[in-house]
Amino acid sequence: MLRTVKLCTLSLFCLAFCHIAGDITPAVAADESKNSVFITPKEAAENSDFKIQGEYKKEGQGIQVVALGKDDFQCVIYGGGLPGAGWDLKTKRVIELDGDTVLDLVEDHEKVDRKSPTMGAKPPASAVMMFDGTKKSVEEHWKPGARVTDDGLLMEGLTSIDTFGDCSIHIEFRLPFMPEARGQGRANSGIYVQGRYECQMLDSFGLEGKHNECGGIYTTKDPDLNMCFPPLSWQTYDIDIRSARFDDASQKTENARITVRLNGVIVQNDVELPKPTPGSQIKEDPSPGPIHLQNHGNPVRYRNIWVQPRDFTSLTSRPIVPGFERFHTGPNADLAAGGNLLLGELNCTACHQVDGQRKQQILTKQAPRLNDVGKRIDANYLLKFIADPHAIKPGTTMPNLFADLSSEEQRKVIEPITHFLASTGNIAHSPIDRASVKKGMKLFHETGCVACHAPQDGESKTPSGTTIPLIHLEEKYSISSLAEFLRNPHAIRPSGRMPIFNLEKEEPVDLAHYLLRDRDESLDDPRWHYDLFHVAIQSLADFPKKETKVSSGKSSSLDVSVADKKDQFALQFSGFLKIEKEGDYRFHLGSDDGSQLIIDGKSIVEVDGIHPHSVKSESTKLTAGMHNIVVNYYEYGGEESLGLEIEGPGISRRDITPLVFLSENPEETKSSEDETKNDNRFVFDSNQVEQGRQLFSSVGCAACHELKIDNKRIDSELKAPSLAAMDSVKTDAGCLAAEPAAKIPAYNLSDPQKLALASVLKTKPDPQANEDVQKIHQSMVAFNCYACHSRGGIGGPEQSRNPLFLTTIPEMGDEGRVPPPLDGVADKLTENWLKHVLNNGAKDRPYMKTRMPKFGGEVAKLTESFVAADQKTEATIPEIPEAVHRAKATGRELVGGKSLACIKCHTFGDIEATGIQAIDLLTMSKRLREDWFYRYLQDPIKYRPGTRMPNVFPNGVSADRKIYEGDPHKQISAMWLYLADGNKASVPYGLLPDPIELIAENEPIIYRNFLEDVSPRGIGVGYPEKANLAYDANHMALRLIWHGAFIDAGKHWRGRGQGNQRPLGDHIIKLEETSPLAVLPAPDAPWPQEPAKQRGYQFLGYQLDEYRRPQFLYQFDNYQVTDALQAVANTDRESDFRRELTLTPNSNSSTKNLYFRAAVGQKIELVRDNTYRIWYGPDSSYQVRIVIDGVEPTIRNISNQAELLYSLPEQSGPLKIIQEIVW
Amino acid sequence: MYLKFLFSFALLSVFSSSLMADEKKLPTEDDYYPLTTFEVPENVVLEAGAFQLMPNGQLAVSSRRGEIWMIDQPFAKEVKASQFKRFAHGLHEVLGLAEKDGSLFATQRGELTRIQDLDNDGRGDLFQTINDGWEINGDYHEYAFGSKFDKDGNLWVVLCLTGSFSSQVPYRGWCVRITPDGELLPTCSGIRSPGGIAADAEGNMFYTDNQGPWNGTCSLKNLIPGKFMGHPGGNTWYDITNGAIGSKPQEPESGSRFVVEADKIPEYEPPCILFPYKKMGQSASGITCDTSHGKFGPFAKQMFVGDQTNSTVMRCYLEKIKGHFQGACFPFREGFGSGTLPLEMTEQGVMFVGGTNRGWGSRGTKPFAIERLNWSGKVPFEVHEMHALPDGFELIFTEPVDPETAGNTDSYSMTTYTYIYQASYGSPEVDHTEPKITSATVSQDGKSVILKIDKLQRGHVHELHLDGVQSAKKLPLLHKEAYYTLNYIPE
Repeated sequence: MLRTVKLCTLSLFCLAFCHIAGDITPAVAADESKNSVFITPKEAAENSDFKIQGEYKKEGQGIQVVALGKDDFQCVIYGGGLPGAGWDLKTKRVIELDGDTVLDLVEDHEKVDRKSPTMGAKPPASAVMMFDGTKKSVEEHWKPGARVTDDGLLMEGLTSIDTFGDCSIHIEFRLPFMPEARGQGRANSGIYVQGRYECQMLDSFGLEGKHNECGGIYTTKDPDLNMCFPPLSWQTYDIDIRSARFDDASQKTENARITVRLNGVIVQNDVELPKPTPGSQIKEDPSPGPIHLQNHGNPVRYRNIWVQPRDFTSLTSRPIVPGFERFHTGPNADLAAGGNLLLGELNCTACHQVDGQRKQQILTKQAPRLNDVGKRIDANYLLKFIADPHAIKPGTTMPNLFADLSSEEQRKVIEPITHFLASTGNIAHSPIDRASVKKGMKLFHETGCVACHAPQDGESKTPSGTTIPLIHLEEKYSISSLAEFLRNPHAIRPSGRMPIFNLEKEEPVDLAHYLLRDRDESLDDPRWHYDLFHVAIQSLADFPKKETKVSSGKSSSLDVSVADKKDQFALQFSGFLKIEKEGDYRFHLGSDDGSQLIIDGKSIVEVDGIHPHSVKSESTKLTAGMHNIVVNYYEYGGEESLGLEIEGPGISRRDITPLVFLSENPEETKSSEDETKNDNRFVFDSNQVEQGRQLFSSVGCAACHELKIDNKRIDSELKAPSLAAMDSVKTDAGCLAAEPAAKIPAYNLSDPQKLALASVLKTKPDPQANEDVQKIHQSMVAFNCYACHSRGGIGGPEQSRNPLFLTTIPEMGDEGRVPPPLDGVADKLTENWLKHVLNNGAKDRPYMKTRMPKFGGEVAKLTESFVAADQKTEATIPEIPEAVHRAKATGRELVGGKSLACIKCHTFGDIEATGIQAIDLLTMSKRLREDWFYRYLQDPIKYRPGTRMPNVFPNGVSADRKIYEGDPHKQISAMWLYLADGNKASVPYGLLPDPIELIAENEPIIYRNFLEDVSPRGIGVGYPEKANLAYDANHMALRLIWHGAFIDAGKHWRGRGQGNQRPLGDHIIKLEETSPLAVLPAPDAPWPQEPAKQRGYQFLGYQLDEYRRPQFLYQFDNYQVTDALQAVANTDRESDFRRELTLTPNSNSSTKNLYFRAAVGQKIELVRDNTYRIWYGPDSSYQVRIVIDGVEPTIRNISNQAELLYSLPEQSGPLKIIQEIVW
Repeated sequence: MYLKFLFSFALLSVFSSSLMADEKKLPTEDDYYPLTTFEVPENVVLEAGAFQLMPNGQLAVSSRRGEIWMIDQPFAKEVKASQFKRFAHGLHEVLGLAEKDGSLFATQRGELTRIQDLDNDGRGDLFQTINDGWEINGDYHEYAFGSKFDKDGNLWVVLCLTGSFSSQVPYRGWCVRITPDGELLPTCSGIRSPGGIAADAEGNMFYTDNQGPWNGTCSLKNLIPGKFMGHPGGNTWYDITNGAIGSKPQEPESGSRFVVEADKIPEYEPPCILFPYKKMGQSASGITCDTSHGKFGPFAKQMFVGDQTNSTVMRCYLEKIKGHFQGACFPFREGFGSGTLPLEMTEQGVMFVGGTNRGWGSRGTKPFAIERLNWSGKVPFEVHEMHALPDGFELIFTEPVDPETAGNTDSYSMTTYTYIYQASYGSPEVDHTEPKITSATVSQDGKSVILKIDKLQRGHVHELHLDGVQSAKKLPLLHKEAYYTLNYIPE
């Protein structure tokens, strides 16, 4: 400790020295430190400490071993994996050990030598190669004094000749091994970007990760993660610098911003640099600056340095395609695949024709549908956006179609187009509700919006390249139009890049309030005067006089919420209606409660009285010009609404407001205040609509955007060159040209984007692209599935986004927080369930705040590819040693608290687990494949690395050896069978903390209530012999029998008691679905299925016998029936049931064709006299013994089942049937 | 006994005269109607659903857990656990008990059952299904409340909807009658969520319905065969009645008002008494009528209605105006142990009150309770009756009033309001008015006052506060407010 402190002081001194005297010489530094220094791996190769230090990993853990010299080491143990490679960012332990102990510690670990993904990155065409190992590059680009080693590496302490403004820098560096050195003396250098801002180089391998360590911005900001590799490894810096901006008077208007990747991982994300860092050689001004590599007395080496000058203003407004930025911009990225992605995401093929094979491989992202766009988007926004999409919404994939036009020329095109779009409707703004904003903020940051969009909490930052911009939404949408979009984005954006989040009830509205929270309400364009009256009237006849108004104001629509009162008010809206063409106009007035339309003093439509929203329509003739328009409205109680639509010559039915003005001469009467505020506000002009429609078709809008008028899509007249004939495709012209020419849409593509598109156009379609693995990957990139899920080691939440995934149960760790990896997903999930999830979204993990949204379409189609790529069938599924109803009981025991205790962590339906609340056991059989379930339970870590799910079968033996001798296969089999009952599975033991168990002590106990698998008229009977039954009084049938415990009445006797109660015991057998007695029209007629009650059977109740056992009574046809049931105890097995059915004819004329159906099963076998085995499953059976005097049964096969059928004799006296059931 | 009674009465009189001197110690409900709580056997959860006094003097109590208990000597000063004996179990939530020829008739969720003790061992042996002609669907809302037998021997059953809004199976949302022959007679549609059913002294049948869809607040409604009670959720079953009660009525218009729709839809019978939400309660429950001819005090023939949430019993005065029952409700007694559900008045002038708060919370904190209300013999100063007049109300008091305060209009205040008749859940109070009380005229005998009102609002609850009114003995009213539902104004 002391030593460190001393060294720190030294280093400070050292720094001060630097400031004054510039770089110190290596000799001085060496002399001061007296530490051993190894400059090359070769020199260090024989050093035993060097051999031990480095990075180690095993499943779920990473260790960084830092050499401190003289056999002292510091080991940093990371939970989850090494930093940047699985570390959970939380779990970290530091211990100091000697070499031998270190070797013990890492014995079961693998030593790794990580390599930066940008290592060896080649410069793009537009970059300046600053140092490529040649003498020439040193002479051309570096000031005198630059030194090169014999093996061609640049040495510390040099400054470039070239200067740069906005640019991207790539540099590779190697830090010497200095085990005894500490703090700032440990392999110190740094790169001064523009000579102003220092990104530190230091051997900070395994240290805290501070601003004065590797990846830090000196004195300004710590790195987000310490990504420093061990000394003498080659490491990379990739730095983007956006210079500070200055006005004409050289006053700074914006700080410089920097993004730094250390060894490929972003450690400084768009960080603002308020001033140059200490040690800078140049003050901040508009001039560019050189690159300076600091000499801090330590022998640091550099290679492969290049700089790409860029225009960050243009660059940041490039089309943002997260998958492209994340997976196709690195040095070794697959450019052609990236280009293929862009062909789809930029919808290139809307204009350019492609050939069949390539077409199949492009996942097209259709542009938003513009039907009724006027009802969704503010015309003012449309006007601005079309004029300069990249300025209004940096990152948009919408091209600028008019970049080459002068502003006057632009206006002539864009205005008519906007009028045309606005002719489809207009939006009505409503006030922002602060309570909703608060709820919306929570939703936005929790449900998953921030997986693709930027968090807006003012703290977290996400990389701009992988963040879909949300800019000026408050100028674009109204609350209701945005909420409607959020409810179902696919209606507008059918290609589904924005998924449906299954937002419920008020959630879309809350989100809309949040996203539009900054709306400037003063900008609303007022169209109507209104007068408000506080009156309780129920008829237009009582409409108040103007003098009695309580207030007046202006409104941008016929918005009744201006009243700020729910009931008992009236409003009079007035203005001037501009009619262009003389003719007949039809008005549609709707309201809740009353309303009236008056034009030029004449009442046109009246919707009088108190009622829910109702609409009336009337026509009238109007001349061209301005007309006085008045809309009277009153609200008495309940809901309130008002709407007025117009249709007429050249105007399809739509909202009237755009045609209404505050005054007769709207242009002249604007106040100066209005003038400034509404200077550029859009004023609808119906004269321009037709011209706009033609332009929409001719300039190319219609190529990408669907817009239907009268249910017919507007065609595009724009044609672009075909991309089908590859030889003729020019990759440096058209959209890809450095400066797009006239009439070419300007996409503002970045260099990598242009390169990728050029690459794909030069490449033949990839024949492998249609293979399942490729297809899945391609879709996961396009739909940004990788933002949440990893698969095959690719994707998953980015470093900066990872903390944005939240859970309700922090103890569950990442499993409870981060969406699951999709490795082997179709091996795990059943095909149906996977398809269901992709089609509909999922909410199976209640602890995870992020919701799996609904993608549908192309994504759901991937199910087949997932299945083909993932599904395996390789588990050993054994024979079960007992009947299914018994195996289920065993499974229940295994799941329960006294055996394998699955219920400790997993919920069971709506019953909480006793520990964490992991995924519901009752959904297992619905979601999972049986084959996978077998394999998974025997090795959870293999299938879900890092899972907290323990292996309860270590070394192939179950933790519970009492059941099936601990055989995992049989135990899993029993659990699967049990869970396969889904939400009908009986509650496992140990889960209900306080059951209301009904126990038959000395007498039977009866429970009449809603029972599982029985009609609502179920009667449960528990017998002291521990056999139980459920009788169905709608069917007159013995429906269920089971052994052991009877019923837990807790479901019905607590709270309101909703739901069906399951038997509490085990060995549940389902017997008769309907009465076993029936009259059949013919011996081969099928057994009737409808409830017996509907067939005229009448339940008559029950009588208790001397042991208080119920004997059920009913009548049908000509018979009175007594169905007497008793449990019979045995010494060697659980109890059996004995049943005595007595039929008594009501009169002497008995019925013919009367049958008793004793059992139904898949198969029925005669065991011995009168005894039959009934197979209800391949391995499951029970036995019945039947005695009816003088009657022999037939076993008939009908409707794929076997029936044990007795034809009953006609007789005048009572008939007795004895039935014994053994199961 | 007699002496003792006189003695205690004398004590009470002394007590109460001293009360008059000291206003801080005004008499309370307890002084007039003391409450006795029964001791229920240990480990028994007796969430009372219905009561029936048996010919042998035992009181039968059914429970939501499907049991029926017999209580020996239920009128005894103290009722101990040892007086309870279980008569039956295993029934499905019994919310109606009636007696005929010594047999008990229990209304279960799914059927009407006659229970007989064939061997006279105090336990039921034969459980006969008398009728199961209505259906159940497995939803917890599907309660069935049963009445006593009417003069024709029919038993009336009101059936809650499947949920708040709909009727999934036959006769949910209906009142049906079961004849002595076990036949089911469809009787009224339009029921939402009943809380109790009982007849008045003349045999007119009433039930309570609860705030929710088409019920702006809880109310007391008059069941008249063929009438529609307001919630159209169950109207689909007109199709299976074979026209027994006419054809399906016109659908009411959501957002309207009760009387507006009553004028429009001839089958629709608007609520007789609206119980203003929160003010009088939140879940109207059991009903009983004082048929004790004065043994329960001055309120002979008046109806009493429980409120489960507030753990209270309210008092209702009904009169027939233009052929429809309507009237006023008054607070009567609060402080019951649990959520008031069944009420049973006996000829002896004693009211049994059962309580449960399972699933629906109550002010009374006990999970369940069996209690008894007796009359102390003292007459409280109360508004006894409230009659609607063409231009005001006539108030009849239990005691002569002080002419000075009762004749002063400042002693009274009135507001009116109603509720929206709508498909969505409940309703706020709407259409408020504040009518002027222009005069208060005390009758010569001091027992009544006529209030002239400018002006009455048809279809509104008229909420009257009588804060300043005193009795001739200078006592304030025990309960100072009354709520009259003025569906019809007499001419």
